[in-house]
Amino acid sequence: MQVNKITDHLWEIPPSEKEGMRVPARIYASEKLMKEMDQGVFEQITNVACLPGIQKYALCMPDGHWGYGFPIGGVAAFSLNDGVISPGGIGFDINCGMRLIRTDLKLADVQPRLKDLLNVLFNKVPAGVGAKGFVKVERKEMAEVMTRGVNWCIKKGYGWTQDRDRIEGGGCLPGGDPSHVSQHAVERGIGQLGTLGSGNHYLEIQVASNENIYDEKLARALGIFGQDQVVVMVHCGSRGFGHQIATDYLRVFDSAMKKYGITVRDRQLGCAPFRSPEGQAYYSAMACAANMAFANRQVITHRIREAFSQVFNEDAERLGLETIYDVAHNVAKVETYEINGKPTELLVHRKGSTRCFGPGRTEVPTLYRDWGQPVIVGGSMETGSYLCVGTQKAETETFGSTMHGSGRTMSRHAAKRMIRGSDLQRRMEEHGILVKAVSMSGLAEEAGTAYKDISEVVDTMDAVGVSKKVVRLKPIGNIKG
Amino acid sequence: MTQGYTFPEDQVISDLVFEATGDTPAELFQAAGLALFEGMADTGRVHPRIRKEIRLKHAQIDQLLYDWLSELIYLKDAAGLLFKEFSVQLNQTGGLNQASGSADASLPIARPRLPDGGQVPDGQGQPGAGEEKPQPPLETIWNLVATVRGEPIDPKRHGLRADAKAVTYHQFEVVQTETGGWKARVVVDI
Repeated sequence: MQVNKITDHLWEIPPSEKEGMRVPARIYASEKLMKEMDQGVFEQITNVACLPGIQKYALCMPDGHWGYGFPIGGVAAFSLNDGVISPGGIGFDINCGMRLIRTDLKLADVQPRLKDLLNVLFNKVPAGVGAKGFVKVERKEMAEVMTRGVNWCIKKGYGWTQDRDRIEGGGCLPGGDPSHVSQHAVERGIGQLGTLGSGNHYLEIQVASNENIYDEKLARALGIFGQDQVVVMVHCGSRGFGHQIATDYLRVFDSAMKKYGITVRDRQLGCAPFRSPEGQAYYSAMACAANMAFANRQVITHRIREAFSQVFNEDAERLGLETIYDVAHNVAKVETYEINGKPTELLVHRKGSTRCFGPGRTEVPTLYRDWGQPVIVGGSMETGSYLCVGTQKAETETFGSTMHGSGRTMSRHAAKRMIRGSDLQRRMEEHGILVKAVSMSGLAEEAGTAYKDISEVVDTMDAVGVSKKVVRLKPIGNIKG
Repeated sequence: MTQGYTFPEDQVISDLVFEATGDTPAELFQAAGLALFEGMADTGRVHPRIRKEIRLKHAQIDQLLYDWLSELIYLKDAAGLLFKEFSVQLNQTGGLNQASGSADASLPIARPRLPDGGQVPDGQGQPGAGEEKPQPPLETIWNLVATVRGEPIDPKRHGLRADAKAVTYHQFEVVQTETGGWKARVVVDI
């Protein structure tokens, strides 16, 4: 497949390379990342470029690897009137995303009690197969969670009013309609609010040191003062609820495509016109799942505050446990961009990609509007994560999108062959990172060596000018399913 | 081809893949069910204390397998159960005879069977001039009735592994082999 180098960090596959491509496919990557890029990415991103109504480019971020339909790291924007919506462009785990919570505590405060803190968190935030949350939601309340997201949590006392302003979209994607959500999805999700999941999901205690701050003024504006400040990062999504919605609608679209004369190169790219009854039904169900995920991360935040309060014998407010921000990296949203000189509403699919709006954009909360939207980029549990901000350039370059994490480079089997879970746990402890995991085999699968170099990924989009590094966060404690 | 499953290594980066086999479609479905749960836990440590019945139907056997595995994943979450025993009955209703089915050209399903039990060879079976045209087969439906047995998930006892969250269509296939057995390949999102 012909791949043209546009810049040191941007590569393009022209439409002539695959029959049916409506737009070029673009991959953001350094030379090093491009050499290591999973071959499935090239195949999948050019398939995406064939979808009806796609605008400008099919994009893949530097953490890209193959997924179902779209690659992970895939971004594509569609005309509302003649474009499609595709569950494969959002992912099974609808609104899988990241939350970052700051504290006023420093490493010296937390280190002596880290083991206790992890034990308490492990009990308060269930993880792994079959985990049930502490929140008992009545069936009739589920509809409110689906339509109001974080607002339901705040009403029930699982959040602070100011949390809402520090979550993408105010923690509620409008348009959720529970009548488009199956009973199976409700029954899967009803007991899972406040649970972490498994696989690459985690709750991590991290440290912001002065030497890892790239922009001190920006860091302070986001609530980071450095000096080995302790923060907490959460990576999880809509759990079984979102997965069931994706399953249900993939089945619907698999047969609906014939009706609309759509053919796709990959069954996982099943789609329907956005304006069709099926497309609108899925969009409203997806919004329900997005709201469940925001609510899930909010309930987890509540439990984190309880845990810190218990271990440090102090109110969470006095400990400064404020949400910095919460982002979705598996979602589709209606956003406005300039197309042919005119502001145009488009449906932007982000699958393993984070929104990164710049200063001045109205979707960015007032608190951060002068600085740009915070972007939380989760790394592997050994290598650490990043806090970045979005830029105005992102809006014209990548439909306001950037990377979401490191991206896997090897299979779970390969990772387990390299190291056993218990050995990895010991190795991490020797490097100052305590880990509590429900599954040791699951832990081995998440070894740092199974992932791309996150710094290379983040530096790529920093160099492109789409997202700017603010601080690198080092892990000291981790909980996994 | 006997009932069984394998987990091919290094075929997917982030999720779980298995290949299941069986002499009959029912055996295939049983093997696939067990493979799904073996990917999640040590099923040898699961006691078959609780019984659930599952009834499904679909015109296409591969979609029926998708629905079967999806239903098991739903029960795992909604009822909090791990299963280790799978007893599946599968039959077809409708159509010219019990053994034939209308093969959708877009799906990798078995070649249609002839009334005498043989299979239409590749590239053959087209009516010539003067021959009676065959009646188009009526839609056949695969009917599944299954009993599954397991117990509530216990992190302390069950040696939990990955959490299966959804069946994908990625590389998904159900095929009848040349020797008449059945094989399926499934990638599960975890």
